[in-house]
Amino acid sequence: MDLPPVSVFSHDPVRAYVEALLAKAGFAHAPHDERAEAVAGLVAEAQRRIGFELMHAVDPHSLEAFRALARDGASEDELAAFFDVRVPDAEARVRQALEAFGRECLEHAGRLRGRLHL
Amino acid sequence: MIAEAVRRRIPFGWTGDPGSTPGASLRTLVDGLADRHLLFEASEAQRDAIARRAAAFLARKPLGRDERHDLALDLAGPEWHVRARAAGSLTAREAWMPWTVTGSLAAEDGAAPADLPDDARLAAAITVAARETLTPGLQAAFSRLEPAAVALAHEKDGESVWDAACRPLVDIFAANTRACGSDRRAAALRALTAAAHLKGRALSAAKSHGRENPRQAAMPFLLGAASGVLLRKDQAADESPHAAALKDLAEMTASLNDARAALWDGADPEATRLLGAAAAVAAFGRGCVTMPKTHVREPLTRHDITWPPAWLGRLGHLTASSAAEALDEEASDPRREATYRRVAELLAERLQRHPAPQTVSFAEALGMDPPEIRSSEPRPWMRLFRAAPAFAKASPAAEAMGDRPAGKQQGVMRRFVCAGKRGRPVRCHAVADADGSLVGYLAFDAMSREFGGRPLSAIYALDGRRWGYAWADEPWVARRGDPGQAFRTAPERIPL
Repeated sequence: MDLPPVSVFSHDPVRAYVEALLAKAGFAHAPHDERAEAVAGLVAEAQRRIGFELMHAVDPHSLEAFRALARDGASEDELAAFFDVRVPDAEARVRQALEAFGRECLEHAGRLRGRLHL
Repeated sequence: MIAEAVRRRIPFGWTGDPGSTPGASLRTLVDGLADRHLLFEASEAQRDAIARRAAAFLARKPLGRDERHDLALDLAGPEWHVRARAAGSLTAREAWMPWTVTGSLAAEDGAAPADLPDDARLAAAITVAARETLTPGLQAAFSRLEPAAVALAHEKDGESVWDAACRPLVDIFAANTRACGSDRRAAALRALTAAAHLKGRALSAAKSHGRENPRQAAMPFLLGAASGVLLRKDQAADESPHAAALKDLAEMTASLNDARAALWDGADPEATRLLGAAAAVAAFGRGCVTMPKTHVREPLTRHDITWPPAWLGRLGHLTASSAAEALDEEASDPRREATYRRVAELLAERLQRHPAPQTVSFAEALGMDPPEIRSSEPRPWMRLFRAAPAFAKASPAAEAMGDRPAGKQQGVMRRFVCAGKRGRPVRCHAVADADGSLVGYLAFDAMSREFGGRPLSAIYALDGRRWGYAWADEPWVARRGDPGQAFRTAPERIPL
């Protein structure tokens, strides 16, 4: 199954990607409440997946610096600027992580589809 | 007779008599069950038949778990032709096994066929074979299905003919299920499931009528029962299937991430998530780093997104997928205003999320009525066709039906009736080019079904290929394509 593209025009590309993934996996018409709950959980997991990918690219000192920034309540822009400086290929790594996440999701969703019509 | 009773009476570790064929060994076992344990009464010929049939069942290849899941999906779908295809696939591969018909073998759904222990498989095979052989009227009931299937596919009141032929089989199936300890409701549900799939299979087989192996006429009933078992798996779960599947998906992704965290000496989940969220914001320039919240989105309505009303007139008759493509193109047009592009993109995104965007119009996908058809002046790129003037004569079948030939009603009625498959009358229209020359005929199948609650007519070309469709409740507009409806017949010939 083809992976959906990452829409960079969305307000939140990660959320849009997860929603597209669910639609692709056959959950487009799941009840709204259940779907919304799943989207929230999966977005968090997708962000974690990206985080693990980025941990490979950042040295331990920089990682500690990032944690310190987060502890100090840095703004969204400040946190993002951290990657602009320290990880030049951040976009490629983020896309790579999202694709891997999407592949895992679709693979597992394919196995779950049988439970939709009991 | 129930399978469990047979199983208890099979000698422990029985694998057949040494030095004899499987059929002969089974015959000995059947004799023992009939004579020593008095499980059933059967003549010598019937015992032979039971042993042969059970041996044939045992020789079939069991279905794997994944295959069963795929089939469960297909057999549970709303489209009868998908269910029929799945049932046909089982039949063609001879992968069906009698013990999947637990509806007639046990009160509760059994394990997967491949997971059954040997003695349970043996007991199930003998039980089904004995029922097939000894149930009075079963074979006769099966033989009545074949003509009923033809009636179902080609006659107006075919449904009632089919129901009458199917009822005895459903009764037998329900009785078997109740004998195994199921309650009335469960038995009725399983019988209904069996009947539905049997009907789907019969409709599907209508085209290849006459070429099918008569033995297979009996299979759909059992296949329907088998599908019932597949459908009922995990039915005891209280939560909805969607909720369970989505929850499972979220848990799976979380467990994979937890495993990765273990490689990083138990990295803090929130810190890792924040790292990823910030990286995504840095990469795409959009998004947010706060913890995702549950956001319930209302169904898409006209007022959900404010979009220009003119779009309804322009896109209303396109399918949702085509409209989404058109909107996508507009959203990427740099000459458009940013707001316009943003709205177009949002709407396209929502339309693409429709489960079947190819089968509904743009307006229907938004829960609105499609706009009225507007005719406009011919444009240079348009090709004009018109209804042909009166033509020679109607077919003999039409004459016999009392339909007046179009030639006698010039300017009033230009339709005529042709003989379709198996003599079914099919209404036809002639089509002429702009200069008046005849370019072909289109035939309506007046018995086509509804689609999306609207009556529909199929249009066929002269060679029998389906050309398109037209809504029957509006001025006739021939449309190319397929609205998602399967059509049953096409005219075999149209006399010129």
